[in-house]
Amino acid sequence: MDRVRHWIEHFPDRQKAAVLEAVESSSLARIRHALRTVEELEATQRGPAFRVELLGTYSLEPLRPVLQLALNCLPSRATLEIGPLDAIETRIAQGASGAEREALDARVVLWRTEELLPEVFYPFSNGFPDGIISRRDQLLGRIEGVVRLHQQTAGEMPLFLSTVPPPVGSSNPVLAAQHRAGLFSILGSINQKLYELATENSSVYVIDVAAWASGQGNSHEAVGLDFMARQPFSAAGQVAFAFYLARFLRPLIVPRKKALAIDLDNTLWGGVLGEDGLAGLEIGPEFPGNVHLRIQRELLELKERGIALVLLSKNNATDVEEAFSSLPDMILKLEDFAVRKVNWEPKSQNLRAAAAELRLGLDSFAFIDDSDYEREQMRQLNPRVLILNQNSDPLRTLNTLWETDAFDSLFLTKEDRQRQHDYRVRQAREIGAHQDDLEGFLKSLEMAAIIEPVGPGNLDRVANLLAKTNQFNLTTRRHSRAEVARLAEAAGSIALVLRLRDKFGEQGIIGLVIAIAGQEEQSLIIDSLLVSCRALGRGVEHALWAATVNRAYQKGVRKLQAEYVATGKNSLVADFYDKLGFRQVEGNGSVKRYELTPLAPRLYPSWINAIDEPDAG
Amino acid sequence: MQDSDALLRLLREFFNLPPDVQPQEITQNAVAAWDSLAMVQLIADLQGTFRIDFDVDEIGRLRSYEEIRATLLKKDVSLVRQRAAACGPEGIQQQNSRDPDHPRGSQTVSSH
Repeated sequence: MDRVRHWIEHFPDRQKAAVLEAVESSSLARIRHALRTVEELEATQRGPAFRVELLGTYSLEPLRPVLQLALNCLPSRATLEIGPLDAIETRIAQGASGAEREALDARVVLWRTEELLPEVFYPFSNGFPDGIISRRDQLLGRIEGVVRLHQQTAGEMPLFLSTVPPPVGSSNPVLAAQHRAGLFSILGSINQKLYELATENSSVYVIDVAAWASGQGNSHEAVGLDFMARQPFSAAGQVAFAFYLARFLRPLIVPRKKALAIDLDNTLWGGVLGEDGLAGLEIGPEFPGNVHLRIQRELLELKERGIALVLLSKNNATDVEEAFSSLPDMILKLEDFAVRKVNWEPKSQNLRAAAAELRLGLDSFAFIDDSDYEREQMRQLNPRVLILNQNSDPLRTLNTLWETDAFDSLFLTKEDRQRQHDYRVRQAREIGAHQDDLEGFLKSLEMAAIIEPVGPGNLDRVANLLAKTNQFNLTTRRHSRAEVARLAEAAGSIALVLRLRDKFGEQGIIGLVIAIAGQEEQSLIIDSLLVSCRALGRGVEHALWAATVNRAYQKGVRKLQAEYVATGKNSLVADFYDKLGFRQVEGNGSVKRYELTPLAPRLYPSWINAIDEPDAG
Repeated sequence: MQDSDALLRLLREFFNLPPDVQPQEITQNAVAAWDSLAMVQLIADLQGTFRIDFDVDEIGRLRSYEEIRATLLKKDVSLVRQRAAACGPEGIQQQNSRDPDHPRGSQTVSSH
């Protein structure tokens, strides 16, 4: 379903809904309805013209509507030419084009042992074993002949040969497994021949109907219809079969994605580097680290197939380098990424910069990120990038990598492997002057910042935030729960949390400020100010800061004193107070001291609906 | 009433018939698109939608709405429910209560 959804993402809503409903329900009536709907589209909305010939030993004509729909969804303006039953060689001999025939883009041969080699179902009635083996060898010769004939009459036009699936019905599987002239051995040797033909001939490809059928169980079969009309598929089987077949043809007209941009935390490993530290990361042979390990293996394989990997991570670059070099179980090395963007810039910008460096268009990119926020930002600001995963679960992400056809190709050449190397040596190109509408995007998140005093109801979370937050943390003071309670209750203190809600749901408490009365009268010292790394890049700190300043102002505070204490992890906020208009009054090495006076009320950011709840908490 | 009839809905959609077509008008003779190829597909669709398999002697008696309805009813298929059972457990076809259009769902096509 996700696959089809990606294929037709540029269809208008009505066509999209009709197709998805038809595929989901496996209803042939809905398939026909969807086909009528798609055929209403203008040519420009329907992709390239694509003329495919289907030849078969079983009846394909009844499948025409569902095959037509599947090819239309590639998307393409497909023309299907279905040859007469059992006339494979005759049809090929006529040539791929002629006075009355337009040139074909591809030819597909769908065959099965029921017609090719019916003797194999009843071996003891048909000269087992030698008679069966000799009939099998004749058939292998026939298959080779089909390829030769095609090459003579159609040259390099792509020829797709299906493997032969297990039969719709057969008896005695026990005995059939015991001999090289048994059914399954014969099926295997026919299919082996097909794989070899594809290996040896550049224009011959295999559509692995046998692999498809074994994955479907018997739900795809319709024994009665096979007897009645030599059409072996149930309704659900037809829909699955048609879209499986279309997937194999798709690389002829739709280029694969050439790059995959991927995040780090909770994808390449479990946990958040900036919060959990190296020791807290899950990666290795034990669950759940083994899920992330497997994701890494998939990515390495993609890289070896010529897909450029791009690392997009909001982290400190030095932390990431340390993690890659010191975690013993990592499959991926930093050098496996053609481009690495580890910084605090929006990922949409980083991806565009990476695209420029790799000299690829944005529509060559796929993207995986565990964060709803990051995926939504990419979707809105770089809509041509394919978002592969739908949620944060690493198992689902792994499944996405298994299921996706974004990187499908029909060839694996030396050039593909070489390309990976080329990505790295290319000169960086000037990054375009594209400006994001970041504020528009942030507004679309429908963020609400609920400001609440620190109190018994949130002390646990506050202590947890103080213990774990490293990056957006001005002083990194690891106060205990009791210490926080004492500071918050002290006379003149302002201690607030920010609870974030957005269109994805409740994000919980992600910001904290603790300010205590200073030595000077009417002064306030910012003891701690932090934002969880989950919420970085959304400007929520400005809401927290506005709430703090406005309360201080109401209390008659006239001077704010603040510190930035460098820790090696919090360079992100090294100039936070400078940007807020503070004046630096002291700076010795790792500690900078600031003052702000006089105070003036501050507006909340325009993209956040701030809800101040003085009595909550 | 007609909209609650899953068979009528299926046939209308399958053959792209006008919404006001009467059930008794839907016969193989009257519907031009209902050729032998369409028959194969229609049987596949009926079997998938109603989660049944037709016997050999039933396959020859599916030449009109009325004939199909009679065959389905003989197989204890209720025609009120939607195709929700397409991915549900076996045997669900006798449960009407999950029909989203007709939560009380006790009507069948035989009440026409």
